[in-house]
Amino acid sequence: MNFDEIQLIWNSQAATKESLERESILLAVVEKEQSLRRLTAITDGVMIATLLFVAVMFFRDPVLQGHDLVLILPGIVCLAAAGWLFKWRRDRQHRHLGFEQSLRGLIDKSIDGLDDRISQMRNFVWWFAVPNVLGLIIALFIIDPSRRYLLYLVFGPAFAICMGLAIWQINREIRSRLLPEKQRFEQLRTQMTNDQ
Amino acid sequence: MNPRQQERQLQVWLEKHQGLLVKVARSFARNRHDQDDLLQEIGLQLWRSIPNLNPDVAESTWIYRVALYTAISWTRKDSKHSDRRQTLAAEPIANEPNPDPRVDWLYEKIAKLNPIDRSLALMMLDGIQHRDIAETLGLSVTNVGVRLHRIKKHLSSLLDQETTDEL
Repeated sequence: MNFDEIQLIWNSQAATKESLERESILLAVVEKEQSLRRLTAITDGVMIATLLFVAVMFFRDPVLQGHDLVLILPGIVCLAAAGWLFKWRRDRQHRHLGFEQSLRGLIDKSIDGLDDRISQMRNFVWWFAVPNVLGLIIALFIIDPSRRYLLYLVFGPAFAICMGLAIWQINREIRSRLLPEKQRFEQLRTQMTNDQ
Repeated sequence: MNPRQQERQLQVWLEKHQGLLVKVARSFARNRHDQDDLLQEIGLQLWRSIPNLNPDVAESTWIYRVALYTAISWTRKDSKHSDRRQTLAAEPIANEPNPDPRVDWLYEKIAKLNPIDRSLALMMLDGIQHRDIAETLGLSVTNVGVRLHRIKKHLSSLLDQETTDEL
């Protein structure tokens, strides 16, 4: 028996009617693409708008009334965080797989993309939550004349616990989803290079 | 390129390359639901690839590249796809029994190969030249030749075994 017979079996498919319900696929693709685009635009927009709003609130008193100049610092941090998020969004849009490369190139690119995503997830808490919450603590401290230290003694540790939980959750997601995904891609790359 | 043109381009591709897409879907997903899901995912990635379409690359090579990459990526996360699947309005894939039952047998054997060899087998059976396969997968032509020789031998021996068992 030689391979020609296998080829004949394969070619016999040409005689069968292979038909795709193209309209249904097209509709599903357009809907999925639109809903994904909408969801990411809303999420990114809300996060950037929140940071900008908080930054404006921090700048308001020091700029308009010239007091509590210390609030300028968290304001700048919030602005920087908003800028970082905007850049992250643009980078992500540009990172969309171009398919101009070979399959092996795409696998390499996917591994790079996953590494990038892991580092962004790890940095996210520091860029989004920390500027907002630390800024709020400073602002609260300034506007609260009674200086209720007990409040800060509760608020501080509560914030630290929340941060700890967020970091734990992010690391869990990385360990359970992204790292195995990366591992599978690396296995694929090994399969490709083994016989080179 | 605006979304309308993108939609038109995808429509043309789906029509022109439906045989290729069905074969990729059947090789990487065994049941009907998974094939539907994979075809949707390939459609989505083809749509996204349109703005980056490289005119120097043959259209079928491009479609193969996108479809195989999507299928390989999909395999790694197919278990998570079931909840994201959108039901298609109608059955998207022809899955009627083939006139030659050995076609199903062949798909079964191809599906057991590792994803890279599966991709190689698919392109080889579809008559793609070694040079184009090498370019699509990012392997050297020699490596493609060696691997294909091994796959041919493997599939032929499986067919031999099957024929002997039947006798």
